[in-house]
Amino acid sequence: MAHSDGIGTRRDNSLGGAGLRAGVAGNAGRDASVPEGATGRQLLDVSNLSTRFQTPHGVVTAVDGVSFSLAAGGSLGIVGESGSGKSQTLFSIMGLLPFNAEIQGSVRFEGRELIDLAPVALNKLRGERLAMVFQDPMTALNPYLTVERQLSEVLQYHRGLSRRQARAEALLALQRVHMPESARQLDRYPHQLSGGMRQRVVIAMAMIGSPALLLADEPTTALDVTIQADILDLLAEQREAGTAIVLVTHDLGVVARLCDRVMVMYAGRVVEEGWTREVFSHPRDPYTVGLLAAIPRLDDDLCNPRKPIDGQPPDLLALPEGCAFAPRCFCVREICRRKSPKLLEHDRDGAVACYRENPEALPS
Amino acid sequence: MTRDTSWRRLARNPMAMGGVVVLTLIVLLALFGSGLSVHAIDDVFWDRISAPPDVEAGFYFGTDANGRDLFVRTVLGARVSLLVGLAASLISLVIGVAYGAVAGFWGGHVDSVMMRIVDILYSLPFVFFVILLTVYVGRSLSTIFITIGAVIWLDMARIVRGQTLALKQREFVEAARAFGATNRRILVSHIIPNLLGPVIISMLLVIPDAILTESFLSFLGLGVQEPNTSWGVLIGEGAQSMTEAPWMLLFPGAFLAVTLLAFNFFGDGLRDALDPKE
Repeated sequence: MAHSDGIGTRRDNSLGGAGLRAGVAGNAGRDASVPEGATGRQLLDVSNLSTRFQTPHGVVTAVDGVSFSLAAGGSLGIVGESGSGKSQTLFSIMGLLPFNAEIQGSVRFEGRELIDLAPVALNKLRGERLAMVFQDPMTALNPYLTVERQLSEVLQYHRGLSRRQARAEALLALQRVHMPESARQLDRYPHQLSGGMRQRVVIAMAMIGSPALLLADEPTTALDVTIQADILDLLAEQREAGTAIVLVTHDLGVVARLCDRVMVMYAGRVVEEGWTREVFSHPRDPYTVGLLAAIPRLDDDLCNPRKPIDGQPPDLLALPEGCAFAPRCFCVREICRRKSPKLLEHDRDGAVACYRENPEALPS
Repeated sequence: MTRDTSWRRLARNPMAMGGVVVLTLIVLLALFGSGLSVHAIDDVFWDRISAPPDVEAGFYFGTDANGRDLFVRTVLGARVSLLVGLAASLISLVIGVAYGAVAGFWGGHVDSVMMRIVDILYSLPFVFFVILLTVYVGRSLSTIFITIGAVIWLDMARIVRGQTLALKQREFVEAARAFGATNRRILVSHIIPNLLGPVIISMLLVIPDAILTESFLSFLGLGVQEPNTSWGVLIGEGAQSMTEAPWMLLFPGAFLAVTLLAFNFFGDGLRDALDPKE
């Protein structure tokens, strides 16, 4: 697939290289910034990633030719409905796929290929250079370990600290995530903490090795709305401190708040990619348009409620031949049902996969 | 830190502590109890065959069908029975947990092969197995340990394997992996601590099983040889003369029941103490 060859070449035009000192330069400073002329020197370079699962009912292609890249300190939001492959993209990057998965393509992180990396080398990277925050803090913590043990486990994997050193580090890590009464929480068990506190522990675990890249899989979905805001602030803080973030969510508001760039996925493919502000104000793909139109707003006319996108997400075992969104699309053409559109770049530093936007891609 | 609070919780549990006290008493009795009796284990009193308890003459529990003092036999029988029970639970703890956890955790072909071995051991006729062993190892107390040890961990391995299969799907195991934990680390720090509940329960269930199996083996003439005895043997003899001499069943039976109860109280307490949610 000829996806997005140039998407990785982002440069912070307004500030030059200032974005490298991330966290200092305010809002614009955290825009993805790359050293001069460093197309292949992104922090994370995913190209043509495909993940398939062998199931008893057939082969499911959960991730289909996904390509994107992320500079150090950058932030990318991946949005889409359930089953669009956004979480599987993260798991593929982390190498956390079950045995029946088959992965193709390339994931380069800090210049190293992660796919087919030996387990020992991968284990060294995980938790140290790249870390993950899980969706449900209720289940992501071991019920039999105290908060201190959970945190120092991570330190012991990587640095072999003594018990006392690890405890001191664990306390620091809790303070960094603004855990209330952090010293007291060290000896508590997960079930004694609230959901928000647990998610803080999970983030503390992820951040304890000061990773360069944080992958967050719907980190706020399982939390109350008020707690969600706190956790988002906390993630924003990590980003300000220079950690690149890939955030998977189905909450577009979260993306608007946290991510410079956004990638919309449908049925395992990227349908639109671009700067968050640009995509949200001028969505080009009909699916993105539908997603944005479905968000309730305070000034909604109650008598004329918002319309969700018609139809159901496609069955990954029986994808239509052409564009997977064609059966639900409001501007479907005859070609859409035969041939799926390629993801092509447009002039506003983004890319979209739709014949309506890319008429030149139509076969003549 | 954690361990301290666990012990404190255990010490504060009256049932568990009661269990510990009773078990200690029984062990002390097994070790030194023969000194409380004026009779020896093989003294035969022809005038007192199947006689009821007579405290003044020193027959606290009466005598058996051969005219031997039941008290001293019960007390000495405790040695073999406790040893068998303890060995069985240790074997199922060590071999069963390790085997089941490895099979469940690695899954796939490793799991298939390991569990088929368990199936084969399960389906071997026990008596045939015993006879084979006797031929090769000979008749002795150690035959009992080997025989019981060879089969007693199978249940534990199956339970642990099933639990591990479920546990390894849990998100915290995935999280540990995402934080760079090796397989061994995940097994030791995350899977095994979460197995404690079912493991302790099945460890306790194994004890009466082993004690009764020992009596069956002794009945076949493989285990304890006369004049030595065990609770299982005494209960077997007592059951035959239940109607005419009920004390012959009552006393060893009561000892076995009390011991098992004490083990269960202790085990429940231990499980609760180790479970942070209690």
